Amino acid sequence: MLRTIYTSEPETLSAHLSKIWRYRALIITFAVRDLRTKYAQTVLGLGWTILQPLTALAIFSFFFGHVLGWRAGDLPYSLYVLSGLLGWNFFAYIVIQGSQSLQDSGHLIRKIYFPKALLPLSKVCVATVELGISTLLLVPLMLWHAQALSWRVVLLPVVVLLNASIALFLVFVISALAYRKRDLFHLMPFLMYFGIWTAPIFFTDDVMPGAYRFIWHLNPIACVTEAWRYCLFSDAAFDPGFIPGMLVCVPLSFLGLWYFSRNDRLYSDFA
Amino acid sequence: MSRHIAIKAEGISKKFELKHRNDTNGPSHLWALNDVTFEVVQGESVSIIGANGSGKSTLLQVLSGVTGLTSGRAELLGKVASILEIGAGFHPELSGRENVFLNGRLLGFSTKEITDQFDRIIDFSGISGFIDEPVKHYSSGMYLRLAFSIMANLNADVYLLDEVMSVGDSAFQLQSRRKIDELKAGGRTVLMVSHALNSVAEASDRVLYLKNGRLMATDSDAIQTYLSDNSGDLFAFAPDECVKLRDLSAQFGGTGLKLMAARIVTADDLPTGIRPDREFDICLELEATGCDPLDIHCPVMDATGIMLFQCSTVENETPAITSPGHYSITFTVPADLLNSRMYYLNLLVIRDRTETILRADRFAALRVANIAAGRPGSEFLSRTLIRPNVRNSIVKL
Repeated sequence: MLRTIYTSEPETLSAHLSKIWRYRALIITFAVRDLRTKYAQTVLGLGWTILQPLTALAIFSFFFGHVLGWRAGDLPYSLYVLSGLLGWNFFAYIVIQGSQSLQDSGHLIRKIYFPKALLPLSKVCVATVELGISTLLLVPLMLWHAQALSWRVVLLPVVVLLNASIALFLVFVISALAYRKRDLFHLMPFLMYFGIWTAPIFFTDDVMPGAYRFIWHLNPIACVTEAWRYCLFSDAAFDPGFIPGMLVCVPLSFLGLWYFSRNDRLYSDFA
Repeated sequence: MSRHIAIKAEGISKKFELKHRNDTNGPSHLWALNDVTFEVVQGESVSIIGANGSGKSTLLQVLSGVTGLTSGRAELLGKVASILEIGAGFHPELSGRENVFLNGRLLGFSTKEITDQFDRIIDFSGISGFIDEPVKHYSSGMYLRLAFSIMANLNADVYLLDEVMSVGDSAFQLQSRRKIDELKAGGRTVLMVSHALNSVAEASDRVLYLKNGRLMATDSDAIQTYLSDNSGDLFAFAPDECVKLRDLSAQFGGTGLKLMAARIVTADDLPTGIRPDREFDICLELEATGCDPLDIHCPVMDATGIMLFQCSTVENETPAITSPGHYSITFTVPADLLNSRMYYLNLLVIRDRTETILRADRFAALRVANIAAGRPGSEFLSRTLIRPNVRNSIVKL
């Protein structure tokens, strides 16, 4: 018979992982609930998922590409921006929604127990669905620019995994730090505004002065952005300097989960 | 039949840090639970009672894993379903059907377990016609019935219920009571928080009384201990006191009456209270100054405020006081009426048999002894609010 034991000791990471596994159905349940309710009583429904990046793409391509005349090597500028934005929006969605998810589900976690990591994990599912839909924007744009798709596109799921891992790392650390004092949440919009300029989304790698480039190469989100383009476009080059930044993503997310799960039963007291 | 221990709490403590108590004299933390130890065996139904803030809900939160404990250890055997708030986890935008699955999974059940019980859940809730409507369009009664039905029809071994019985209309309460009895009969363990003390006494095998995070009593006297603890300083009885009266003379201004004396006269008091098998008198001495027709009306209540009977001059054909002068009014309460518990008296002065011109709540308190104490089965006899002498005859055929 099932035996549940509670003590004041935090669970080990492996015990916590097996518990997340036991509750895994809830991840999808939460994600479906989010998707269903997000687009409830809207005419366009999931269509909104495509409209948002489309508007951003139009604005950025017009101002940076057309008005300011920025270029992106061999790639058409609009394609360059879109391929950068896809990964960035995915990342930003998980970070913002994920770190708010404990607070948003406060009514739930005060009354029902489940591993709290399920909430950010469900946001990853939602973000993945929305990413899948907004990725469709690439198709007409690549056809228009006659840009060939690389065979490396099969590696894209790995890149998405790295992208999610680094976002989850931030979510776990921010949530674990900010559950008592919520100041960090007020910093989040700024982080996202500035953060977009720490990755090669609107401009190319080579505009960065050489002295700073090694820092740039250590930024996992910059690495992931480059990896996105490398997987999509045959013409894209890849700088091996980005590899270390990519390798740390998954270990970091587990480190974050370990740190986050130590307080698993305390979040409800402050949510 | 040997029964396993379903819930075992060993020295559970839960500390909350207080935010706004940085000054030196206030405490910086609060022990919501303080060294709570108890056991519940399989198939038992146990209620937790206590004042607001005594730690009842925190105890259920700890046992359901919602919140962590500061020290101690808790062990639960079998699948646990906890309902700390009925309908928690319902999403208003989703349909009833979707919410059944959402809620069921939140309670830790697999999709298969929910699918297997789905028809029973819907039948029991009685809202099958609306199951595909978003629950935000449900009336609160429909919402409640669906939420309760999900919990009650999924097969857990241990149910932790917070205030489930005290919501909803009386039909719902009766239905949920029956369902809980049914669960109990099926060998499930139920640990619940309740404020409905009268139903607690009947529905539970045992009562745990929490006060300021400490477990004060775990036996059948827990309810009475709780009630006498909560009657306020006014009625804090010394060990050998049985009757207490409040001085009301100041309240009589403007009524045309003066309260000269009030007393309760009893016979052969025991150290634990007055004897229920003797009659006793409630005496009031009054001085009337006007000519208004006045009556004295004293409802007798139990500690939860349920009115049991009254001592009243309204029973008479004419008002008690009709002209100035001294009056002595005596009510004689018959023997073999009260049970072993606390009783409280209100005092009302009524003019023209219609208008209440004075109301004094709880002007007197009475403690009644348990004359059957120690006798096997006395626990059964002390549960009811009153205990008139009902004769029985037994003929072996």
